[in-house]
Amino acid sequence: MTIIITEDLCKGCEYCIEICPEEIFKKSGKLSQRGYSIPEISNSNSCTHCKRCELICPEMAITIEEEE
Amino acid sequence: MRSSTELRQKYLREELLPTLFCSGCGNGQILNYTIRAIDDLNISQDNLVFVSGIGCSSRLPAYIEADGIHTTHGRAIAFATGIKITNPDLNVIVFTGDGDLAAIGLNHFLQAVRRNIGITVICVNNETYGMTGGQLSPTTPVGYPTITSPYQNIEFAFNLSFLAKAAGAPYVARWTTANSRQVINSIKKGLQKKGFSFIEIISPCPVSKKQFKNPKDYLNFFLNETVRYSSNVNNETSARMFKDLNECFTGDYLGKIIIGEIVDVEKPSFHELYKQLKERSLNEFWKNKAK
Amino acid sequence: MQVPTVDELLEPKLQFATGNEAIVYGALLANCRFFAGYPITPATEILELMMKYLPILKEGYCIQMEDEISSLAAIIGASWNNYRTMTATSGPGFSLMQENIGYACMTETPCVIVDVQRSGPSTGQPTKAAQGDIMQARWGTHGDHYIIALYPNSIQENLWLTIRAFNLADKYRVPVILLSDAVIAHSREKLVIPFQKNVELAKRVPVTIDREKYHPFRTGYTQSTKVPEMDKFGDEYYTHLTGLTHDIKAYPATESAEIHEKLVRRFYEKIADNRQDIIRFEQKYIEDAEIVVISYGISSRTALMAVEEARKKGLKVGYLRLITIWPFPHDIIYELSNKISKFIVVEMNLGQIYHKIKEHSGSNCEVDRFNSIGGKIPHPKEIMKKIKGGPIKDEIID
Repeated sequence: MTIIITEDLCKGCEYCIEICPEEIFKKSGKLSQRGYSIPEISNSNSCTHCKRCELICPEMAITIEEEE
Repeated sequence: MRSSTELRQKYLREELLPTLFCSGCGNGQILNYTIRAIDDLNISQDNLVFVSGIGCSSRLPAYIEADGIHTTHGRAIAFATGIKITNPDLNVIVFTGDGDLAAIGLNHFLQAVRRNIGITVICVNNETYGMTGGQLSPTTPVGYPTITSPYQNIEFAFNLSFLAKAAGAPYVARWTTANSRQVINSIKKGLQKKGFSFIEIISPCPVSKKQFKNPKDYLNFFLNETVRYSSNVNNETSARMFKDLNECFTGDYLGKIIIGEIVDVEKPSFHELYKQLKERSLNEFWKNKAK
Repeated sequence: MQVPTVDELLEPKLQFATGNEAIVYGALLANCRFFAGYPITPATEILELMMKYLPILKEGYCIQMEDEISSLAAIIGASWNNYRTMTATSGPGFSLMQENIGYACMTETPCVIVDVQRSGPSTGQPTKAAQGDIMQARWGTHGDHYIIALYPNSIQENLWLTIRAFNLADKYRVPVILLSDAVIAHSREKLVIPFQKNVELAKRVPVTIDREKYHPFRTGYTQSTKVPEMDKFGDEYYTHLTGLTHDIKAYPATESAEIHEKLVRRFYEKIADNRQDIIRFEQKYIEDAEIVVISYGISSRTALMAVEEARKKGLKVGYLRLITIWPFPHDIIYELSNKISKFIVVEMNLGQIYHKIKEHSGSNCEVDRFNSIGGKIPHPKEIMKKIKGGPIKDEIID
């Protein structure tokens, strides 16, 4: 499971960090080009493909790519 | 379910992204849900028209690759009425906010419900006037401080979904931005409903509203403080579900956010009845001509 | 069941009809198929007749909305479904419509707004005629904008000017205000209803460019004009409309003074550049006139009587009737002001077009006025007194 964050769109709201039942997203301390604090992915192997992060993101910046 | 990347490419004017909405704004989430609902139903973008009034939520149509009309404050539903009547095959979706809908636009809202015009109204209710900085709106709860209620709001708030129900809407649903899948399903149901459908979505306003400082606090509030109405409640011991809408007016639910599908019935739409009217008018015309 | 044609619906061809009826017939002949309105004296009959006739016609819809604001909103929305649309109201309703008139100007939406003027201000005298909305038609809505306003003075002209209003609206993508008044609306005269094949109808500039290159507010593509091509909702071209200042892609562009100026100036230019096509007026006894009586609408009927009476008495008086009120025909005013000694502006208000006449005659000639309010139509005898240089009744300086 690849979790793709389109950093250019992220506004650092942290909804993904709050909503993920497996706590995969974490604050990274890294700033995007626009100056927003963007999340990083800590353990993508635990991803259950629930897609709550993809749904909750106000910028549609998260895509869960399924490995064939 | 398509991925966000694919959906953005198909449905959004990507050259305008990122949106003008603040970090954590509910409008972005509602954009996400609306596009997914349209995609699930396979509605062609050729057959979509988005209508909006004035406010943050009313900026949504510009981002969507489809016909859109960003009108004057409170009048979106009146414009949508003209559009839907003259082309009933169009899927007309109205984006509006609590101020746009329930203050200046209240009359047009209730009249369109009364007429059962087949539009889908998505109300982004953040209980304030977000675009102009956080003034009180008709849905601001009593007691709240806002920029125009510095000594606390002394006015009681509307429940927009109950208003829609009272005016006779055949489909009314009320959710928060945290209830992702329910919102998507309700928008789908609303689009398939022949008459008026109303989906009210309680949303955060992290910048203009004083309720919480961080977007994620809104998310947790929505997840924890909602009580759900369902006509199918079987489990009596569920503290957060209830069956009788009258219970909304008791003390237990003050401060809680009521969610659920409030109304889901069948009712003849304006267009169906107008078709019959046209038949009658023709009958009478030819009858009079024969005299 | 067979749907009748407009010709079958509007029989007989020769009628004794009111001004309001003539407007309805003109609209139906012009292929208006959507009307939204609200009852208001003295325009209510237009709504009533449209409610009766439109459902009978193919794809005809009519709705009584909850107020004038939503009536205009509904017709603007419907115009984008490639419908010719109209609403009708009087002074108080016209005041309510101003915001959406500005919206129609900004989005360049064609529509016809009938204002059957009555005595104001406020509720005023609902059943009495007046000409108090002349300036409001031009400047009622806020900001820099341009509209077209026409004003007939006979029942027959009501029919033809209604058709012309739709044609101008489509040709220039602008809301057109059709003025009338309580007297013409309710008077009856002989009306000849033409066959629809004898009525010339203009068309909107269609979108012909490739879908990828389509920008809703680009001009000069199909024809060299400042009027952009007009799409409709529900096809493969996607159009975004907004009341905000926008670029040619119709995206909001509020930060650019340059884009704003270009946009708003184009609103002026698309009308002003075509004055010759748009402006109409009627002149009589002008060639050797020393005094010219200017009027429009109902007061022009008695003004003409006064002028003809004056000519019988050997006075060199001419008559100019404005048919297009806006854009204002300043060329003819300037031209005449250099030849005559005085204009007399006859209006049923306390001086509205008077100011434009004064502006464009400058110091070339005198400009006097004859004002009659309270529902009193200017009497030919009173106008004669003014022509003969009678005492000035009251001078309002504003």
